[in-house]
Amino acid sequence: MEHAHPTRLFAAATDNVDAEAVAAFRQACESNLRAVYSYVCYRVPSAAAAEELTSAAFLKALERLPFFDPTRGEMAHWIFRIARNVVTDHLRAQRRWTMVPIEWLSERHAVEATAEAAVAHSEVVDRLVGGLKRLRHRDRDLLGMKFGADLTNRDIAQVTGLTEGHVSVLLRRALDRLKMDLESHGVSHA
Amino acid sequence: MHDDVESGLMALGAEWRRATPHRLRLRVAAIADRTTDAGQAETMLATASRPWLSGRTMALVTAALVVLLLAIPASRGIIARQAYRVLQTLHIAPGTDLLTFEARSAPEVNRSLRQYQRQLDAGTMWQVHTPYGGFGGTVPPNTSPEVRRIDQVETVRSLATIPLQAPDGVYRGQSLTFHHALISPDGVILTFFGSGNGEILLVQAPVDSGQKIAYSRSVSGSDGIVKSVPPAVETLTLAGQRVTWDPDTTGVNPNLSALRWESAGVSYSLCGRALTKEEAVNLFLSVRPL
Repeated sequence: MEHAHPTRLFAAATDNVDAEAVAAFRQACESNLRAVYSYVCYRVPSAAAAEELTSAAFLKALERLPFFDPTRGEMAHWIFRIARNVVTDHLRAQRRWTMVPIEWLSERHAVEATAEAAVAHSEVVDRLVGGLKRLRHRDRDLLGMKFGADLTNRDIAQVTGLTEGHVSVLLRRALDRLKMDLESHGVSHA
Repeated sequence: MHDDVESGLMALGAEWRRATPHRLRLRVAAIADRTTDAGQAETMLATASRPWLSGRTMALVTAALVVLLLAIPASRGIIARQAYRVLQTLHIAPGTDLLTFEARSAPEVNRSLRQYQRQLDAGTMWQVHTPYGGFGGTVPPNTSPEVRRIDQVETVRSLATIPLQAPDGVYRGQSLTFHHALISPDGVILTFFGSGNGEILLVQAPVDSGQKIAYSRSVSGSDGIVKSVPPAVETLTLAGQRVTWDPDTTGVNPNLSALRWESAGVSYSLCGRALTKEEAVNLFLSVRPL
């Protein structure tokens, strides 16, 4: 993933951004980082990719700071919209390519024993994550905002441009699909 | 009705928020802080994430691996779900890349391998192992996952969808003759010439329909960590063709050196037993249609 030089971007940004917006941006970075990262984790299968995309989202926000309009909504919602776009662009690119480090397979036997012990405690989490991975991107997007970022339905409506009622319906359907998927893969959540 | 699932999702979200990596916090703090040179911070992080470049770490190397990756348009079917962070992409030709990945811990590697094994078992991926590294890619829909070994050059010619090439002449005291070929489900052809110490592998992969082919070298330490080793290439122009000498950078397996070029929509990689640059250049200059 290529980034323009952050220092240059910030120099460009500060030419047109007042001190209040800069301060708000710094505050937004600090207060929303964990939520954005968790949301991205919901949407991409690799923690490393989530880290990279989260960083890219904040860089993109910095780049677009001169265009942030506080009359159109909160900065946190604006940052989440940028993060969603960054993830969507990444997923589109991922769909274009298949990349599998083939030869790692030959190392399987060497690492098997250690890995089994390491992942044993997270069996339930693995199944939940597995179910999320099989969901549609839109479902993961909404569940990521709801449970990953811990946003309210009202927040999600602000980020997505949907009505709060529509968000509620879509979340319920996403949960239905996730539950059905987990049950079909032998996970009971009665 | 969804209580358990919702509880699990909330716990997962809380865990991920709590586990936000420290280095990510530093990166975003650098972005937010106008007095910090974020670019410098990025460079420092990149360096810190490649500790295997030190001599001490290299001494732990127990195996050297070369990886071939195929990138195939979605229209031909996407199978792999893993996402590996690419630290560096070196475009040596329009359809040929050299990649450097982030390091992976033993549990991360194992988890990826289990996913990959399932894809192999399901017949959605193919792979072969050679003295020159492992090669693999996706199996197109409605295609057998079998990698076919062909011993007759006429049969290879009849099955190939790309203009096949072959090195010619005498190499290490023996005349280079076609030995056999491996034809993958997605059209990559591994052609072997000669034998023993004089064996040559010419990988011939179609890249004319939006496909890309990528190579990467990795090493694994006794700690199970798999680390990708950056390339150190040299670009040459031979008989009007731009070629890339891509020598082994693992330091432990000289068979991983290769001369690579691209022509007429085909990506070629020439490999041999401890192949030297001079040998590779001479072999390239001898190449003719198979």
